[in-house]
Amino acid sequence: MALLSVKKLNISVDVPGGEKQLVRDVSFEVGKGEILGLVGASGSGKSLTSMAIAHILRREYKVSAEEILFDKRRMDLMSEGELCDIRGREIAYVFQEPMTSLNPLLRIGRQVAEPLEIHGIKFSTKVEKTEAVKQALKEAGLEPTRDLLRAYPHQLSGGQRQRVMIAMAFICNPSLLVADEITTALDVDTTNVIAELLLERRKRYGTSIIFISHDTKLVERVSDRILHMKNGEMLENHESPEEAERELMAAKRAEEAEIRAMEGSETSDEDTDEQSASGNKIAGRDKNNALNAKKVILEVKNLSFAYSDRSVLGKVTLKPVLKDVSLVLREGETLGIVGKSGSGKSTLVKTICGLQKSNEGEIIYAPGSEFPQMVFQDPYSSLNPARSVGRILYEAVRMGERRAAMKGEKKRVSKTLARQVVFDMLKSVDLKSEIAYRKISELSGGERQRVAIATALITRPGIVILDEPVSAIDANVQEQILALLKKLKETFGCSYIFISHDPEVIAKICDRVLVIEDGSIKEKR
Amino acid sequence: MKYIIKKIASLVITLLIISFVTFLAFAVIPGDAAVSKLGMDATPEQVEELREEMGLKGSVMSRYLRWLGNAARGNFGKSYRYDMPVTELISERLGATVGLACVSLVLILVFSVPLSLLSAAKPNGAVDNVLTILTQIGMAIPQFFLGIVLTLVFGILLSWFKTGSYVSPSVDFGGFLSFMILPAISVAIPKMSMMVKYLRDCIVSEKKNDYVRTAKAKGNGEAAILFKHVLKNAVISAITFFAMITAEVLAGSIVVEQVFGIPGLGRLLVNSINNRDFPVVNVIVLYMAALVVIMNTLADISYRIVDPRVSRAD
Repeated sequence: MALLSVKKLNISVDVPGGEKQLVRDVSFEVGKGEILGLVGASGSGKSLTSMAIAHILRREYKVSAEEILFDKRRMDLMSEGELCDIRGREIAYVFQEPMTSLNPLLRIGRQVAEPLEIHGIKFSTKVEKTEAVKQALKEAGLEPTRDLLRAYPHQLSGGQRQRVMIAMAFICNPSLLVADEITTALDVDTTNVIAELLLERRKRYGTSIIFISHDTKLVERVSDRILHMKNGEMLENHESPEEAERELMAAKRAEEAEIRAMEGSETSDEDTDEQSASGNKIAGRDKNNALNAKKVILEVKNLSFAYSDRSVLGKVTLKPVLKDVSLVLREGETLGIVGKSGSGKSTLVKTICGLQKSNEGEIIYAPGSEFPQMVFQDPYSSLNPARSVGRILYEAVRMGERRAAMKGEKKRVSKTLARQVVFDMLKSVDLKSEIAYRKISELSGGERQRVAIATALITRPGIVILDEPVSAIDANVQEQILALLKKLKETFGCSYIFISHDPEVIAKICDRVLVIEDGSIKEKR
Repeated sequence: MKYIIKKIASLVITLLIISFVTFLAFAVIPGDAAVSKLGMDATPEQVEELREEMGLKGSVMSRYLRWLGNAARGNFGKSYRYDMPVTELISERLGATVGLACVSLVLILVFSVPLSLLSAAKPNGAVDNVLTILTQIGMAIPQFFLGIVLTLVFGILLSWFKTGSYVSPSVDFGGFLSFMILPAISVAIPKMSMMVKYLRDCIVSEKKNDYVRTAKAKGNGEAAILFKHVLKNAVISAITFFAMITAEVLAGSIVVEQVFGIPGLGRLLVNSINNRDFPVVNVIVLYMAALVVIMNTLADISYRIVDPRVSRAD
C-alpha cells in the first residue's frame, strides 16, 4: 500500500487572455520508506507538483486532481484547517533556498521549535522541549550549542541554514519528507553530507522521501526509483532502475551532443591558433610553459585584509579575511579560484575590482586592464529589473567611455554607434536583437546570465571576474554558458578569473587553479 | 556609546547650519521688525533707536555669533511682539501642539496596523479595493475641509464632542480629550491613509518571501503566518516612514490649528513670520529641524533593536 498516491494532478495559473497549464495529468505513487527521485529541467513542474501535495502553493495557482491520497486520507478534499494539521507534522518540506527560507527575525531555536508548538506537541518542562530541538539539530548534523539556538539565520552559512531547515522538517518525525532541490545552492562536500543525512533518516525512521533535483547523478545515488518530468508532464514511469538509467543516459548524451555541436568549430580553431603561435606542436604538458611566457596583466602582491568589528562598547577587534595573498594573471588565461564559503574568495575579487580597499599589499594592473569587470552568481539581483536589456548595455558603453576619459582617452561615440555596439554585443552572446527591448525580469536564468556577461564584456576589459557565474543555472544551460565564455575569451582577448565551488566546472574551463582556505592560498594546481 | 555621541554631534551640526540659514533668510527678506513693532507712523529716529535696542545693528555674522553665544547659555532672546522670553512663549504653545500630536499618533497607530493587515490579507480582494479607495480619499481631502465637516457633523449636529475653546490637559483632562478628538482626526486621517497604504504594500511584498512558504509548510494557518512571521518583518520596513510622520505631526499643523482655534506652534510660527518676530521663528525652526534629526535617530536605534541583521557595531 503506497503512502502517497497522486492521480491526475493539474496545476494552472491565470494569464492575460486565458489560463496557462503548468502541470498536466500527473500521477505517481510513493511507497512507505521509499525514496522517490523526481528529475527534470527547471520549469518542468516538479516543484509545483510536490508543493501541491500538501497544498502550499500560493493562491494564484489553481490545483485540481482526481485524487490525492495520503495515508488513506483524501488530501484534495480537506479543509485548510485539516491541511494545516498535516503540514509540518506528517508531510514536511525542505526547500531550495536556504538563504531566504528562514524568518530573518527569529532565533534558530524558536524556528526549529515552532512545528512542535503549532501541532500542540506538549512537553512537561521547558528543558525537555529544548532537548527535542537539540536532538533534531543533532540529527541534521549540527552541534546544538546554546549559541546556535540563540543565533539568527544571517549568522549561519548556507549549509548550516539548510541543516536548520532539515532539523525543522525532522522535528515532528513526518512520514513523508519533500526535499526540493535542497542541495542546489550548496558546495559538493555539504551536498554529499546532506544526501547521507536523508538516507540515514529513512533507515532509522522509515521516512518516505520525495527527492527533487536537476542533478541526475545525485538523484541516481539517493533514490530507489526515478521519475522524469518535462514541460509539466510525467514521462513514462520507469519501473526498473536499469530502464531509468538508460533513459537518463540517453538524455545526457543528447545534451552533450548539443554542446559539442555548439562548441564544435571553435575548439578546433583554438588548437590551430595555439600551434601557429608557438611555431611548433605543443604537447599538453608544455601548455603551462607557453602560458608562463605570456604577458602578466595583473599582479597581486602580499594582499591582506581585515574587517574591523566594533562591539557595542566600541571595542575594536580585527577579523582577518585575507592573509598575504599573492597571485598573477596572464594574458588570455583563465584562473580558477576555489574555496568554501567564508574562505575569503569574494573579498579577494572585490579588492581586485577596486570595490574594496586592502589594508596591506599591492595590486598592479597592466595598461588596458585597469578596470576589471564582474559577472555575479545571481543575474536577477545584480541587474536592474526595471530597465530594458538594451538600456543596461547602453549604460555600460557610456560607463566604459567615462573610464577611458579618466585615463585621458576621449572617445565618446554617437548614439547610433553606441546602439550598434549594443546590438553587436547581443549577437556575440548569442541573443536575438529583440531581447534589447525586453526587461531582465522577462528573461530566463540563462538569458539573464548572457546579458550579465555582455554587460561585463561590452567595454572590452582586459580582465573579467566571474563569481560563480553558473551556480544558479540548470546543468544543460550551464554547459552552454561555459562554451560561450570560452568562445568570448578568444574573440575579445581577455583573461578570466573564475570563482566556483564546483570542481567539475573549474576543470572544464580553467587553465590554472588556486585553492583558497581561511584567507590564504593553500594549493596551486 | 560611540554611536550615540556620533548622533548627538550630527544633531548639533545640523542645528548650527539650520540656525545660520534661518538667520540669513531673515537678513535677506524685506520687512523690518522695528517698523512692524512701531507701526507705519513711527519716525526714522524712533525706528533707529529701537533697532539699536533690539540688537538689529551690525553685520549678519556678528549678530549670529552674539545670538549663538546667548543661545548656548539657554537664552534665546525675547519675542519682539509679545515682549516675553521666547522659551516661555514657546513652551506655552508646545503643550497644545504636543497634545494634539499625541492624540493623532495614537489614532494613526491604532487604526493603520489592523487596517493594513485587513487590506493585505487578500490583495485585490473586495476589502482591499474598498480600503484602497478610502485611503485615496483620505490622502486627497484637504485638512481644513475635513476639519470643518467634522466640526459640523460631530460637534454641532450630533454634539458628541466639545467644540469651541481649547482646554489645557492639566486643567481638565477629559475636556481636553473631548476637544482634541476632532482636530486629531483631521490631522490623523491623511497620515493614516498614507501609513495604511505603505504598510499594506510592505505586507503584500513580504508575503512573497520564501520564509512565508516555510511557515506555511510547517502547518501555520493564515492568521498565524501573518501575525507571527510577516507583520514584524513588514513593520521594520515602515519604521522610517512612521518616524517621518511623527516628526511632521509633532511640528504642528497650521491649518488644523487655525480651523479649530488651537493655540499651537503652527499658528505661532505663521504669526511670527508675519511680524518679523525673528527670535521666535528661529527657535521654532530649530525645534522642527531637531525633531526630524531626532526621529531619524530613533528610527535608526529601533532598527538596531528589532532587526538582528543590522550590525550593532557602527
